[in-house]
Order: sequence, then structure tokens, then C-alpha cells
Amino acid sequence: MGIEVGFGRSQRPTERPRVVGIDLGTTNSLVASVGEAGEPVLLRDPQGGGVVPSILAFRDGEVDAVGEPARRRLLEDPENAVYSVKRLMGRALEDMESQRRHFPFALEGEGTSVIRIRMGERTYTPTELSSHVLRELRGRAEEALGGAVQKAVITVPAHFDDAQRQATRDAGKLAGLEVLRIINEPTAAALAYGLGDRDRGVVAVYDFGGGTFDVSILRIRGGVFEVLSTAGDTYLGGDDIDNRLMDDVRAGLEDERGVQVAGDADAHAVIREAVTAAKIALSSDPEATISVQLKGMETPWSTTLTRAEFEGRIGDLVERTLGPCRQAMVDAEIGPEDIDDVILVGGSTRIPLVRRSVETLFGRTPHCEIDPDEVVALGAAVQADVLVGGRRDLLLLDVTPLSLGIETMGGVLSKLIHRNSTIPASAMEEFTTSVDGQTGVDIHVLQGEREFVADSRSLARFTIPIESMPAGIPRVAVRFMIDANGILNVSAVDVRTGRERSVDVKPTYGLTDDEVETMLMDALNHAEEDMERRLRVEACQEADGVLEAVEKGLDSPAGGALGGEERAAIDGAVEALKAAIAGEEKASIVRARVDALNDASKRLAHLVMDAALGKLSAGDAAPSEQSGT
Amino acid sequence: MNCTACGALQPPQQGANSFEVLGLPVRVLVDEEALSTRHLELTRALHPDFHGEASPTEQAHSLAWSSQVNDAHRSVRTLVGRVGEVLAIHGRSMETAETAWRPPQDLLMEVFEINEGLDELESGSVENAHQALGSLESIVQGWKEDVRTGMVSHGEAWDVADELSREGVLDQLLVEYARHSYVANLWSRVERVKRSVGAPPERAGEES
Repeated sequence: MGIEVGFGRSQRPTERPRVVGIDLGTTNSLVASVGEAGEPVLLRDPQGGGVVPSILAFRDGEVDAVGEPARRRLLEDPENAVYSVKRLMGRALEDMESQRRHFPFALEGEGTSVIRIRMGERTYTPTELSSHVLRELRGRAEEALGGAVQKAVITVPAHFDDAQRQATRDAGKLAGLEVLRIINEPTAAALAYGLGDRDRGVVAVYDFGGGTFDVSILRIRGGVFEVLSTAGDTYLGGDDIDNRLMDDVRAGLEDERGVQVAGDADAHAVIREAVTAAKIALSSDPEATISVQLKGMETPWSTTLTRAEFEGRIGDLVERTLGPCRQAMVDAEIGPEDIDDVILVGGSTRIPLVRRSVETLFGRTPHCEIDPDEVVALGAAVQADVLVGGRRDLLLLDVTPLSLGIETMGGVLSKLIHRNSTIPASAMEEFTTSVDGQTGVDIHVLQGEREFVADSRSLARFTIPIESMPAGIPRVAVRFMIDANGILNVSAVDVRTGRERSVDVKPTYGLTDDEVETMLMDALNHAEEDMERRLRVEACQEADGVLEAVEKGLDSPAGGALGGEERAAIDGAVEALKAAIAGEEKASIVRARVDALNDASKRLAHLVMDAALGKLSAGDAAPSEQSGT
Repeated sequence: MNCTACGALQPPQQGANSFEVLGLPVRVLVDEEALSTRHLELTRALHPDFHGEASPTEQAHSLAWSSQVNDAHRSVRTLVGRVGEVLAIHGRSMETAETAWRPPQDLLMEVFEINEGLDELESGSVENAHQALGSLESIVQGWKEDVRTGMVSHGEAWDVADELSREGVLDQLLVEYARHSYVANLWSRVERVKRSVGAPPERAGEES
């Protein structure tokens, strides 16, 4: 068998389906999978970056860049970039009123309909936008694993309600992923830490991320990770710390420079970048400078913030995380002395004040051996491995964070499944009719801890169809089931006949199945474009490499040894390839011309190789790195 | 749970009581640690996580089983839960409990006073709020313990009772159950007021 010599890469990735764990974060997203040794590993890009900023950039109203390139664009062209989409998932415009000034995007929507973000001519749901981030992660995973990735576990804050979970699952579907399971971020983190060196114990996970705060208390025994309680705040995260500092900067700019920045997307982006940098610096330095130069300002405005001042500004936000921690302990019927380990998760736990507060509350030094930004994705990968049968020694038993109930007379919420119930959980309720000939019973399902419907979050409405009979005669049993994803499923049975009744559940917030279907069709069209684009990028990268090598070869003595005809053939192939790249030809055409150039330059490659080998044997090319000291 | 011929997971039985679902005898007094271990054993066998690669039908059965096991465990993992389940199995509902026991006059008077005290605490007009709350709390706490003791002794009697004496013991359990609901309502009110009053102040000298 001869050795093929050429300028191109000969290896193509082999097809192998893989499952991954995805941390779809407010600020950053990550993807991980379990390696051959059974240990979860973060999947990185070729440059070694493990994080995909959850940021999208648009051009002419179309998503144009995701992740790091989009983050750079956010600074150059903030009007065409979107971030912190996770905070909008499963939400309606009316939910976001109090926070609107922190979102410099054009938000649209009526009543409880899904919020939409306007970009030029088009509007997008948060689900669609998140699907682009997921697709980016999927692409990264496919590149790192060298094969197609079709199945994933995606994490959500433990306190996400039904609509937010569904929105996340739908985003996965739109990204072409089979979502094996939606799991809670703190629980995933506990899985990533694994059993450690003991078989049983009680663990508290304190998860302070970019947009949400969660705390979960777990009991671990015999490989079962059983969540005893969870509590949190879906509207509390590192973003709130940024917003606090941004308000200060805006006030400073207004007072000292007379600059008004309200509603100015450029200024918003610049200030946001400056305060985030200062916040991060203050985790290691005693003070940081916030310096802001906006368009039209001759000199930058700057201020110095000491760590003590910073802690004074955010003290109440950190304090707000401690309430849910105490609640979680009450619900789990344990005290701080019963907790064996505390785990820190999320970027905001790098703040020294947060660490001190956690340590004081629980009375022990928290763990942060695993990078708090990576731990959730790693845990999700472990769960993905369990779900495809990779391991049986671990089992996750989570709880529902919110009580589930139905509306009864007088607008009272009658709870059927209480919060902190282990999932899957279900409750059966029997219904009958109140007037003769009634053909249906309307049911309104809600989530929340309050007594009245008005204070709870509407989840869905549906009508159970009933055969026309005298009042009180029909009996229909409805089963409300919260599955292992924390998502509601409803089924109904006619008690007399035992026949199943179909139930058409209409989500109050979020998308109907039809809407998801439409988006899916749309995404499928995009998926082809995406695939073509990815192939093209790869082909062009390969082409660049080959072109560079060929041109170097032509300039070397080896190039001088070529015959005129050979030389002309190579020049022709080079021109053809360059034209294909410049003309934005399809990936297949670029690839064909790369192959043609490789073919034409085969002898040149041999000559270059021979020259290199000749040099080596002449002994004048001793590798310089090996010189000892 | 599994078909003896093909090994496939079968659907759970409808209408089984919580003890039956967990495969345990109907008892008020049980070792709660053992109950929890039983729950985990069943969960290990039935949880959807371990049936992810099974047929859609088996996956649906696994989900139904798993939720039924969780629901059953939730109902009987506490003493009060088990008493409620035993009563329900024998056709005693919450409505029958309300007729079985009504708070006597002297208790009503005491509760009236406690509620007044809690109202005052909520309005924020009480000077030594934590002390006042503490004394009300200890009264209700005492009642709670009383009910618990009653449940344990009647529960013990029920667990060993023969067919003839069972009905009488059930009636007594029903009384305890009704008393429990009454005291539990009051207790949750105490908890609410406790939250509105807030944590007791740090003792001097603990700061600095």
C-alpha cells in the first residue's frame, strides 16, 4: 500500500451518534459529553474555548452570528444583537413590564401571548432565538465528537415553571435535537460532583447564575440523588448586579456630564461591558475602574469602585438569596448542621461576598473544585449517559418546584400536587356536571403557592368532553401528571365506561403544538441552509490551507523543478479554486476544486516532501525546541 | 410489574391503595427509614430514566408506575398521612371526620384568644413581639404533640386490632385526624405570623 502524499486533509470524521448535556445559560451556554473513561468532559471549540456566549447577532433581520462573534458584534452594532434571552423564555410581555428598561430590545406581544423580539422586518420568539444557541452548541459538539449529535439533556433553573420548561424543550426540538430530559441545574451540578468518597450524605447546591437563583437540598444514598426541596427566584441573577451598577453609571453620566442615555442601545452595550468587567475584576482585586466613553464624548467618564463599595451596593441582592436557602432547609426539615456539603454553581458565586454569605449561613466552606460555570453542563452529560443506558449506578429523583392546582369556586386555587413532591407525580380528580345536558367541564390549571387564582400563574385551560346526561350523572376522572421533565401531562377517563377522553390542553403562556410545528418546519428549511453553510466554511478552511501550502511550494526550489505544463495546470487549478471561493460557490464545488488542485499538485507535494526529508538527513535541521538547559 | 412471559413492563393496577402500591401491609406505625428504602427499591426498578430505550408503551407504563409509587410514598410517609390513608381505605373521608369531632367550647375560647394575640402581633403593635409569639407558639405546639401522641396510641391499637374491635379503633383514629386538621390550621397561622414578625434580634455582643 503506497503512502498518499498531498496538501489536503485526508481524514473525514466518522459517523457516530452521541448524546450530550447542555447548559443553556442566560449569559453563557456550554455542552459536555461523557468520554470513553466514563467521565464527563466539556466540549470545546478548536481554539479551546468552552463557552458559547448566549448572544445572537442579526443582519437584515436574520440571525447572522451566534456566540463569541455575536458578542463582539454586540459592542459594534448593539441594535442588531440580542442577549439574556433565557429571561424571556415562556414569558408574556405583561410579565416583563417591571424589567423592560433592562432589555434594550423591541419587545412585542399582547396579553398572555408569547413575547416576541423584533429585529428589522421579522420578529422572533425566545424559543426560536434559543434554538440558534442550541444549534451552535450542537455544531460544536459534532465537531468535537466527530459525528452527528441528535440527543441531548438540557438544563433549566430548578424554579422554571411549566411554560418555561416547555419553551426550553421546544427550542431543543427546533435545533434538531431529541430532548431526552429537561433537568434542573442545581441537581445537574450535584451529579457532576458525583458520590465523591462517601455513599450517603446531604448536599446543598447554591446556584447563582446570570439570570436566576436556585437552591436545592439533596439526600444521596446508594447512588440515588433525591432532591428533598428546592427554592429560588427566577428573577434574580448576576444580570441584576449588572443592572444595579449600570444605573449608577447612568446617574453619574447624567449628573457629571449631562449625558442622557435612556433608550440608547449603543450606550447600553458600552456601559454593560464596562460594569461587567469591573464586577469580574472585583472578585480578585480590591478595587476596579469603570471607564465609559460614549459616542460624542471627548474624554471617557470614569469612576473607581472599591470592593467594599461594591458589596454595599449588592448586599441586598445577595441577602435575597438567603431567604430561599432557609426556606429550602425548612421544607427539607433539616438544619444547617445536617448538611454535609455545600456546592457552588454559577458565575455569580465567584463574588467573595456571595461565598462569605453562603459560608456563614450553612456554617461550612462551600465546594467549588469544579468550575462553577462548567459544573452544570458536566452534570447534564452524566444524566444523558444514564438515559441512554450508559450507567445504572446513578438515579436522579427531582421534585416539582411549584404546587399544581385547579381553579375552584370563587377563584380559589385547589392544590392537587404540592411543591417539593418527587416527580413523576400525579393526582386524580373526579369531575361531574352541574346542569342537565352539559357537554363539557372547563378546567383551569395553575401553578403557585398562593391561595387565590389571581395570585397564581395560569398554566393551561382545557375542556373535558362529556356526553349529554342529567346533571351529576357523568363522572370523568382527570389525571394530572407532572413527568420527569417537570412538565404537565393531562389525561381523562370516563369512570362509567372506562374509555379514555381526549383532552386538548391549551397552554396559557407559551406555544401551542401547532405553533411549534410551524416553527419546526421553518427550522427544517433553515437546517439545510445551516448545514450548507457549515460545510462551506469547512471547505473554505481546507481550501485556504491547501492554497497556502501550494503557493509556498511553488515559491520553493521544489517549485522551480516543475515542468511548464505542470506549472500551468497548478496555476489553473489555483485560479479555479480562488474563483469558487470568491464567487461563494456551494461547498461541493469548493471541495471538488480542492480535490482538483490536490491532484494537479501531487508531484509538487512529493518534491516538497523529498526536499524536507533531504534536509533532515543532511542533519542541518535539528529541532531547536529539544535543546536542553 | 413485568410480564412473566416476555419480561415487558405492565401497566400499574388502577385503584390500588398506597400500601398496596408499595407492597406493604396496611399499618399506621411503620419504620419510616424502611419505607423510604422500599420506595427507592421500587423506583430503581420502575423509573423512566432506566426505560429510556424501551418501547413507547413500556415507557408510558414506567411513567405511570413511577408516579404511582411516588404518589403512594408521599401519602404514607408521615404518621398523619398513614392515618389518613387507613381511614380512606375504610371509607372514612374528611367530611365524616368533621362530624366525628367538633372543637369543645373551652377549646374554642382558648383558640379565640390565641387568634386575637396573633392578630395583634400581625398588626405590629406588640412591644415584646418575639416573647409574646413564643408563648402562643408553645401552647399550639403542646396541642400538636397531644394529637400526635393520640395518633400513635390509637395507631398502635389499630395495627394489632382484630376484625371485631377495628371499627371502634377507626372511630378514635378519625377523631384524632379531625383534631389534627384543626390544630394544623392554627399552626400554619402561627407560622405565617412568625414570618411577618421576622427572626429574633441578634443577641448583643454577637456582632463585632
